[in-house]
Amino acid sequence: MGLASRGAQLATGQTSEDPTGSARQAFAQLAGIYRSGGNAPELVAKLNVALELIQEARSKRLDRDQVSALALEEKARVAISEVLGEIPAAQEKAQRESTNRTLMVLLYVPAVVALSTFIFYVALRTGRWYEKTKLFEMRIVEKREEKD
Amino acid sequence: MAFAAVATVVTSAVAYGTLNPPPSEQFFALWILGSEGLAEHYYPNDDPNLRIGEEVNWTLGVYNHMGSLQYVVVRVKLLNSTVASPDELSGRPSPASPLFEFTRVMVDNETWSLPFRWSIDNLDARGRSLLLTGLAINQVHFRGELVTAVSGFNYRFIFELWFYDQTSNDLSFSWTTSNVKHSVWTQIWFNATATHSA
Repeated sequence: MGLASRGAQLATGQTSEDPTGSARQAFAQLAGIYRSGGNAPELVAKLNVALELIQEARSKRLDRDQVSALALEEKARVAISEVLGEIPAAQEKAQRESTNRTLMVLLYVPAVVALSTFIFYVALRTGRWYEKTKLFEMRIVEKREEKD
Repeated sequence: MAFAAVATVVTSAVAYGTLNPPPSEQFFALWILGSEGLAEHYYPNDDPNLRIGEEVNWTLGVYNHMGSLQYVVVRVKLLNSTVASPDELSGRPSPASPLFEFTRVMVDNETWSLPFRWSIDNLDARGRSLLLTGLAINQVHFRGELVTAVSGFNYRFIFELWFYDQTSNDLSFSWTTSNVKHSVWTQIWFNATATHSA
């Protein structure tokens, strides 16, 4: 298995110029956006393209094609830089959306509940009024029966 | 009025609780499908005794149900029957080094399908054993003393699912929910014969 290990290191190991570290950094920031309730599918897609380029670069390196590997890594690095550059705007958008959602919950839910409580209250009052009317009708009937 | 206020507060709390249910169980899933995208026909002519140059066509699938964005790595390891498998109880991966890996960032509830086409490039006889010295995965060629098996029987691919753990700032093979360790891996066995495919 000795040579296999060496092959494996070539396949999965990171060189000093490997952009995997910055890809993980970009991921961590994107995960923060998703955790706060936001989303950034276009940035996730761009990061996945960069990860594919890194994978391709490793394959080229395995085939001892250093020139293509370096070119692919450079492309990946550019894509990751773009993602990292667009993250602050996405974070801001997520923050805004999160605030709006909280406001919606704080205002909208009590408003709906208050309205439904009011409707229930009115329905209850109407029901009682109807029952009272019926009761009076019955009394009148009773009185009439007494007269008879 | 007091009744209305109390009712509003109580019902709001109930409505909020209903709209924000507790998160469901977190898990990853990993699977292998055969050449027709089903859990069958894993080998050409359904024969796991593979010859040199015979192409095997699988599809790996990964499903993220962790409730969050995940950085997922599928590590491919080539083993024989004597090297240890991953240990689910302790959450330890197989000690073998990965030969190849696939990486992707997955959103919650996403399914990722990836093609895994491979063939044996070369085999060397070493006494009673067969040493696999050449392998191609998705057109990437691996050369070297990859793995030996007695009479060419019981080679296996192990696919381990790793994910990037932001707490440890490294890839992790297992995670814990409700004090129980979880890890995801799968394997598939094959034999090799030192003849060339037609």
